[in-house]
Amino acid sequence: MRRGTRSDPGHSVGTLTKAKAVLDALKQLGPSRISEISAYVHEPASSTYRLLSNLVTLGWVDHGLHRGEYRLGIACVRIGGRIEARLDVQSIARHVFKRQEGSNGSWSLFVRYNVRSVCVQMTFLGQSRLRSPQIGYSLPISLGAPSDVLLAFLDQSRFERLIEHYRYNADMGGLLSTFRERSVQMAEKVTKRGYAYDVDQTVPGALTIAAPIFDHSGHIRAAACYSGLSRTNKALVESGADLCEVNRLRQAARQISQGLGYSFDAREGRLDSESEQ
Amino acid sequence: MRVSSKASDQEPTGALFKAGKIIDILADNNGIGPAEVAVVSGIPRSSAYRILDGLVQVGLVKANQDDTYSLSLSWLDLSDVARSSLTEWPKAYDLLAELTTLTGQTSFLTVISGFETVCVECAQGQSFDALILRPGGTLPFFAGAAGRVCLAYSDEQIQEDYLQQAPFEGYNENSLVTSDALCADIKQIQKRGFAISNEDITIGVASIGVPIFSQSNGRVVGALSTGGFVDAMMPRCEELAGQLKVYVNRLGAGRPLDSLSE
Repeated sequence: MRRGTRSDPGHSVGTLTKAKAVLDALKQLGPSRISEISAYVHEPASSTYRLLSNLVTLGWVDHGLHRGEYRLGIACVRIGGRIEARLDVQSIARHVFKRQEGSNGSWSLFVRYNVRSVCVQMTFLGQSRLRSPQIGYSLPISLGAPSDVLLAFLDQSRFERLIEHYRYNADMGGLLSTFRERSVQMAEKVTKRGYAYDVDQTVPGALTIAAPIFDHSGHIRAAACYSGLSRTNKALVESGADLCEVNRLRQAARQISQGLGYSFDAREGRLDSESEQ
Repeated sequence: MRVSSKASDQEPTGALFKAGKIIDILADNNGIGPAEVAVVSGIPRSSAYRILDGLVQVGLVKANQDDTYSLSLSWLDLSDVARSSLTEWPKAYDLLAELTTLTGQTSFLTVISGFETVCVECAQGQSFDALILRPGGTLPFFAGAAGRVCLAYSDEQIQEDYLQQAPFEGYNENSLVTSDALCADIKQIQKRGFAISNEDITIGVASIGVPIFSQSNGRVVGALSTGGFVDAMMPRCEELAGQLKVYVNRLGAGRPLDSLSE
């Protein structure tokens, strides 16, 4: 069998495949010694060492804190930062919403700004005359399906801080003492169901459903919403029935999340187990 | 820790060297075609096609429907793990959060990579939305408090190599872009012990930065900085620099001689 030369296309792909295997090893193992990496990638230590030296020169791998250790390099942080700076949830959402053929309502994107949910993107489809919610429209964080989603999927410490911030800033009258408990209960419902809904809150006269959009770190980034269902669907939505509009919205939210680098494979188990409770 | 502009005396093997160049080009230019990649990189077109296809096969690059190429989102996971692998400064985020609570301004931990600084951690303050630096974001050595303080405390050879590339393309009329201006700035920073960035990147935004050092060889490896609106920052330069130095020592990243003398 003829040995491949350096100009051989197969040689290039082979080198890149081995390089990627080493990067994946370091991603999985964290800072590691050559023996651990070569065992993981099933290559001799000598060739792993040569490859690591090359990757160190590129900056994709750095020497670790301890002697003989290697870790993913600062160049990876720089490259990831360049990508993340370009990821625009609005344009990704716009692209995904426009592909929702056959739907007959308005698709909107809400993000949280302090203690309000703000509409930053809206697309209307089909024969619907619904032109709500408008861009710039906002709701307090205590009201509406998008707010419920943006609050429910916050990590615990940020959730608590936001609740406290809102309580002391909003004129809540008799609701003050029960606000935290109601928010916790709503968050439990929404995370279990995987979406939120409201009637007459986000869009007057209509039922709105909202689903979470996550960034690559798994943090809640925005809420995708669909408005245009008749209020008569409320019982079905509440029961978690298999409505095509709900499924379509959740699928759209997943696609937007994937556009931001969120991986459902690693987290599918967690999301599925929550919805089965 | 520091990755110099030439991390080893050997070039990587041909395929990896070309792949590195192509990845860097795609990092700066999203969605470009192979012909353009070849022109910008100086790599023969046939090689550019081959390497791009190889990078697509291993998942580091994606081929778009319009026959252009972009970096794959898999780099985001690599970036996250790379950040978490920086174990020199355990509890860095907690300390940055504490510093931000104290000052009210956003705090940044940046690390040198070549002739740039890369933000690896930050804690949001009041004016976060106005600041361009985010985790993964980079600033060149000639701009910003973090960049300029790293330049000022780098070895003379590194300074010389960098300044040979001047003049640089500045962000605005306040940016220091010439070799003379940066040399004068280096002297001032060394005398003062910290860098002041007064709207040299973003109009209306200022930052203060102090160096952080490797405890094994005493060389500068990055910076701790704080940034915010210029009216809030400039009257407090000395105070903020003082706070930053305290937290550098708490990170365990002060100049080895300084930390011993305390």
